[in-house]
Amino acid sequence: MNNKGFISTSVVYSFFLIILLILLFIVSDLVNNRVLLNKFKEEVKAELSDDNLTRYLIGHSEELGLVYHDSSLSEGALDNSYRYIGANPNNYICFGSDATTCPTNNLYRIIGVIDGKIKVVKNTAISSQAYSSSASNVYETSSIYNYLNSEFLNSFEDSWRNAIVNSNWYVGGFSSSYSSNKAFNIYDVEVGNNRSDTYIAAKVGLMYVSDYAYATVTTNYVGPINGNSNWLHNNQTTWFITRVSNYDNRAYYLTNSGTLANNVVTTAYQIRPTFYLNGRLRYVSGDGSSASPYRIEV
Amino acid sequence: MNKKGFVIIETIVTVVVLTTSLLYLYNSYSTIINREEARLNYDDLSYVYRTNYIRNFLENNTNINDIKRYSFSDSYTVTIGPSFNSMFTAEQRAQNMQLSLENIFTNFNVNQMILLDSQILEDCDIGYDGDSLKCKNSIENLSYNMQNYIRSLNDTSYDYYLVIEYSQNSESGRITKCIPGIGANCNSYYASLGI
Repeated sequence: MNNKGFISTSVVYSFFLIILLILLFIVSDLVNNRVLLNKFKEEVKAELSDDNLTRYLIGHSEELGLVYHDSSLSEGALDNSYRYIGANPNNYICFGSDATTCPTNNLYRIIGVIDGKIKVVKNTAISSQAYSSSASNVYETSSIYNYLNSEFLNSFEDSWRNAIVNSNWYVGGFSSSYSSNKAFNIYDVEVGNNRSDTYIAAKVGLMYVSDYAYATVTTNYVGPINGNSNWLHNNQTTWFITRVSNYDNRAYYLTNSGTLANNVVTTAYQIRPTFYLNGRLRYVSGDGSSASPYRIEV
Repeated sequence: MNKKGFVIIETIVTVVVLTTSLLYLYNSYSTIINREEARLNYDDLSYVYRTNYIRNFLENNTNINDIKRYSFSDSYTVTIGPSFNSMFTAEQRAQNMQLSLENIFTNFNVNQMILLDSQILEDCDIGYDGDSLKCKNSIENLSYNMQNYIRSLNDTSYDYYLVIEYSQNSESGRITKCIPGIGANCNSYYASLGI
């Protein structure tokens, strides 16, 4: 038997196998380390992003139930906002209190992220009041504007008050001929490209009609405003900030059946303060449910 | 039985085949190693933190929301910076935010900063000639390395991403800003965060 061929072939094959194993070991070790490193990088990036409530809402918008209003959303606002929709989304936020259990009076709901700011509305009304004690529907001189930006605003401690940003509230209103229009048409003349130029800079206001119109499921955007599957519909008559532009003494309100109507401003309806929070607020805890509302650090 | 020729020929053939295989494997190994070495410059954590700082600045002191709304009609990328038109409102300019951003660029060795519509990751095969006009517009002002970095991204949880290229070299122990492809030993580092 010739052993020389067997030995030389074995040596060559063994050498090849050893080289191959070494290369495989190096590459697999490298890949493993890279996978771990990349996973760690992604965790750091997520933590940096989720640390901020605005970014957390944007980055997790789909799973949280926020709808993005860009050009691909049919009948959307086209303002690149993110808005909560549906009958009862988990959009509760505790504002004005650090108590372990958020007091009912400090429970607010997030309308959405608009212009990089978080817009919130009080979950329960603070009172039933007239839009204006005088017969004029000019918001700037109304009693409700004064009340919201003095007595209500000053009920918060400094740190919470400073978290509310000064914003432009478009109060020129729209004509009653738009009342039965769909959401986009109302948004367009209320806040959008065809709005009135009349605005007031203030910290606290009331909801826009279009805020309510866009809080329902997207399939309802094509029809007149109603309360179906709309989390802002709470079976109570509530003032909007928007005046009826073709009258000098009427403003819009939400009926207890969820539809849009208007009335003289001296009528008493529920008041739900609305304001914008600055986009820098740190997200501390909570999942947005009523039992565990979002908690922020101010 | 002829023993001599069989052993020599078999050994030669075996060595040739195995050597060829080893060379091919080593070439693949080198490619993998080189690619992974380049990716070390992607999302290095020190640059991620710099990017986070810049992101906070842009969100709080610039017109970034309007840029996101109006600048992506014919491209998925927008190169932004202190001189970008509509980067700042008049009030922000009066508060010297433009100067502040210029200082940040200088101190952090920022070479290029882009705003990226994450839709590009789904709609475009970056670098492929058959892409749509919007895809081609998106990459025409981006360097090859920047395109490679964007190609490595796979997270679309945000609609927009801030992507920054930092370029620096080390001379006599000092780190200074440089221009990739022009400066000697100029290294580029890339980082991105949702915005």
